[in-house]
Amino acid sequence: MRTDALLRRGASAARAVAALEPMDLALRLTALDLLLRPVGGPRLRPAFLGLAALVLFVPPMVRARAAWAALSVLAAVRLVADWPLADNHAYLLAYWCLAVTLALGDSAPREVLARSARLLVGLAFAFAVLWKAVLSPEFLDGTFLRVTLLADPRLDALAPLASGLSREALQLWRDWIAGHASVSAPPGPLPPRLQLVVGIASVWTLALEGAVAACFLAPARMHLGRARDVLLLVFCVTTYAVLPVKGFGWLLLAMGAAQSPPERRGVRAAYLAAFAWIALCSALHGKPG
Amino acid sequence: MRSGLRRWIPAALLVAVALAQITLARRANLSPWLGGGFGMFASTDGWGRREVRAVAVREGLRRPLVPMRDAPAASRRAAALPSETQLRALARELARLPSRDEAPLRAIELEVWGVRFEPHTLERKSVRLRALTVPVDAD
Repeated sequence: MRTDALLRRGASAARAVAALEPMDLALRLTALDLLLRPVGGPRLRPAFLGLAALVLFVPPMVRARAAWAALSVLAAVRLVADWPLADNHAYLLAYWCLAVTLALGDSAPREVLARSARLLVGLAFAFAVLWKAVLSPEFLDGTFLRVTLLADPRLDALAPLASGLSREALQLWRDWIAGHASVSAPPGPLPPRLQLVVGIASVWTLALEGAVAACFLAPARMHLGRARDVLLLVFCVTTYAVLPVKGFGWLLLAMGAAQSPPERRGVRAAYLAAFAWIALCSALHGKPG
Repeated sequence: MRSGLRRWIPAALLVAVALAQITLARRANLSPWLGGGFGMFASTDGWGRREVRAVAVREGLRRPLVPMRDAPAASRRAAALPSETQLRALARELARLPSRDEAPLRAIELEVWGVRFEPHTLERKSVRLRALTVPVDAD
C-alpha cells in the first residue's frame, strides 16, 4: 500500500510539473541541471549553485531577470577564465542563460525563448554535423569511432559488446592505441563486429544529428514541430544512455522543453521523463559527466 | 530592444564563436573538442592525447622539464591551443621554477605534439603541432 501511495504521489507530482508552462519547466530544468552537475571552478561554483537554488526553490525567482542576467555573467566569466579549455556545454549554457535573460525582458517572453531555443539547438547540431561530415575525416573513415569504442574508458561496459573481443584482447588493443611499448604490432585485424557497429553508429549519428538540425532550423510553416520533439528526445535518450555526459543532455532537454507547444503537456512529460532517464543512466555509469 | 533582435543575439553569438573555433582549429591547432565549435565526438585529437615537451636551455646545459607536472594548468592550455600566447605563458611559468642548475637560464624550448591514428591498424603516429623557443631575457 505504501508503494502504491508513493507511486501515486510521484505520478501526481510529475503531472503537476508537466502542466507547467514550457518556459517555467525549461527554466526549472536548467536550474536543476546546474544543481545536479555543478559547474565552474572553486570561485564560481558557489555562485552558480546559489543562484540555481534560488531559481529552483523560490517561485518568484524562476522568471527573475536579474538572476538569469547574473547566471549569464557567471557563465561568460567561466568561459573567459577557462579559455581555451571550456567544453561546448559551457558555451551552450552561456548562450542559453543569455537567451533567457533577453526573453524575460520582452513582452512575449515565451515566444522569444522558444525561438532562441530552436535556433540554439539547431545550430549546435548543425555545427556538430559539419565537424563530423566535413571537417574531421577521422569521423567519416571510422577512425574516431574505432579508437573511441576500443579505448575510451567511458565506454568500458560497451566495448566488449561492440567489438566481440574478450577482456584480454580488448586490453591488448587499448595498450596498442595508447602506444605502450609492450605491444609492438597491431593485436590483429580489426574485429568484423566492430567494423559493423562503427558503420551503423556513423550513419545513425550523422542521420539523427542532421535531422535534429534540419527540423529545429526549418521555418515554422514547414510544420516540423512534432518531429523536432521526437527527434531530440530520441537523440537524448539513446546518446546519453551510452555516453555519460549528462550536463549537455539535460541542457538540450531544457531547451527542447522551452520550445515545445504549450498545449502539448505530453511532450513536456516526455522531456521530464528523458531528464530522469539520463540521471538514471548516469548513476548506472557511476562516472561524472 | 526589439523582439526580433532578442531572438537572434544568442544564435548570432553561437555562429560567430563556432566559426572562430573552426578557424583556430584549422590554423592554430586548437583541439576540435574545445572552443565552442561543437566538434566534440568527431576527432581523436582531444587535448588529453597531446603532449607538451619542454627543455630549459642554460649555458652549456639542456635540461628536459616535465611541464604537465610542474605547470599543469598552463600546460593543459598550451596543449589545447598551442598558440604563441599560450606557449609564452607556459614558458614564463617554467622559467620561474626553482632549479639546481647554477648556469643562467637562456631560453625555454617548447614543443606540442599530437597523435594521429592509421585508420585500419589504429597505429598511432606522433605529429609535431608547434615548436617555439622563448628567450628568457627577452621575455
